[in-house]
Amino acid sequence: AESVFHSKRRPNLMRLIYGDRKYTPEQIAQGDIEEQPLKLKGDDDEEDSDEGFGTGPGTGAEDSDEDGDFLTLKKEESDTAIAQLIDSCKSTIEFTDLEMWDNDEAKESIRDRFITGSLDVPGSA
Amino acid sequence: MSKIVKFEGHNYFRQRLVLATLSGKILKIEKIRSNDANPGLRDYEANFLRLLEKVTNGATIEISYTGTSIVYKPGVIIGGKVSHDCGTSRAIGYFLEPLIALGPFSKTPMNVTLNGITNDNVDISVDTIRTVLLPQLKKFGIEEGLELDIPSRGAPPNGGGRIHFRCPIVRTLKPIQFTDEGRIKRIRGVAYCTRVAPQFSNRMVDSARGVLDYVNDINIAAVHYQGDKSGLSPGFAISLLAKTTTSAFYSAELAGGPGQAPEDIGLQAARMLLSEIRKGGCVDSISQTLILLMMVLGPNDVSKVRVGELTPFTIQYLRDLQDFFGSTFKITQETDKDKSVLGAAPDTLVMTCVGIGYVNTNKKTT
Repeated sequence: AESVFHSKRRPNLMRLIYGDRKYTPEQIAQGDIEEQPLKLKGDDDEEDSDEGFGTGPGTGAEDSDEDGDFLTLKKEESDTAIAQLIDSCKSTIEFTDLEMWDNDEAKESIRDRFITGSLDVPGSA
Repeated sequence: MSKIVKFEGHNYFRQRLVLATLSGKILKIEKIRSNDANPGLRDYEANFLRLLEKVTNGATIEISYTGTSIVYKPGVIIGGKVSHDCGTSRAIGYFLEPLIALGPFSKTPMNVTLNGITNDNVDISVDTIRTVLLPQLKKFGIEEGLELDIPSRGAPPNGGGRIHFRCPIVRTLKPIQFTDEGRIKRIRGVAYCTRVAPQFSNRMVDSARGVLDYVNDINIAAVHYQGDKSGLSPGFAISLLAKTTTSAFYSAELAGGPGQAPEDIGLQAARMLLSEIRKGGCVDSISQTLILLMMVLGPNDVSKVRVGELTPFTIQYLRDLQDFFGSTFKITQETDKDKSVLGAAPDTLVMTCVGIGYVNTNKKTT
């Protein structure tokens, strides 16, 4: 199980979301996750990870002691970060990100998501 | 699990009230902007509590003297004919979105009239709710009589728009298996303008079509609202959606403000749609939360859905769903090698959960 965990390129989302909840949703969505604490956690409770997910909200509180300090510190930071958060599921718009669609290559890249695209998917051959 | 669920802070206010109402748990929120220069609930949050009181029966809401903490004991969702003024600090979408989650489980079918701002850049516009959110409920068995009319528009800052929302009631939901995203076969949209030159809608449509030249089946309605249908402020907005062969939706929308050219709005909205398409999945980012909620409330059966990347809002929603219902999603990251196209996001997530078997006891089994 350990090798499977480490072979994953991206950190385990279930662990991040339902684990000890030390990251804010914004950090998880942006992939702004420090490797250090994650590795540490992965080595610590590899065994009980599966049962931990099934239980209720209590999971967050019962964490190993060494993470305790880190947890409170992180919490304070996050409070200020999400202070201006608006209660809406519409995400804020980054117009600079949209300029990429000027590029023909970018426009072409999603061509196969449409029924007019080719059926032979490039790259698979 | 305890009967009381506690939170801190003003964030995710609506979803917690909705989940408390559905789960019947007592909700306690503390430290609502307690360090703010202007502490306590905002007017739109208080307004949402008033709306919640109108559609439920027997709920008690205790707000502390300073307004920084509330205790909410949910009642029965009663529905029926309700009329509510949403004010002008938040758009109608802010109030309508939670009602869509509550509506199917009400005692009598909801028939709600809301007044306020119909389109802005903060909340989901009524167009997107009508064309994207509501059709997706059909997959869960909520079909007959689900309607949203927009008799008049209202742009910020003064609003003045009006909508009618009718929602049927169901006893139980159906589980869904939705992992085939299909290919996009058509693009639809609505461009509207009020109290500006009627050509504004057409100009938005033309510039949006220029970007979306992937399929021939593009139909973006250009509407100009006149007279008493046009609200109190000038405004224009465009809402776009792409529908796939398996009825997955991707949507984007943008509202224009003073000094902005309609061409820019149409262009940016079209690009936002392309970004949404690139994320992939069967559910676009604005409908993630509603779909996940309906999956949790489904029968004791496995529901499965493929999504693109999760938004921060959805991630918190997953945590709140766990707090209220104790249900956890299994999240599998799938990198579909066959679909790895240059520039496209090949990573999608398959969200699996077992429904809690929620039953609307108010509806008779006949």
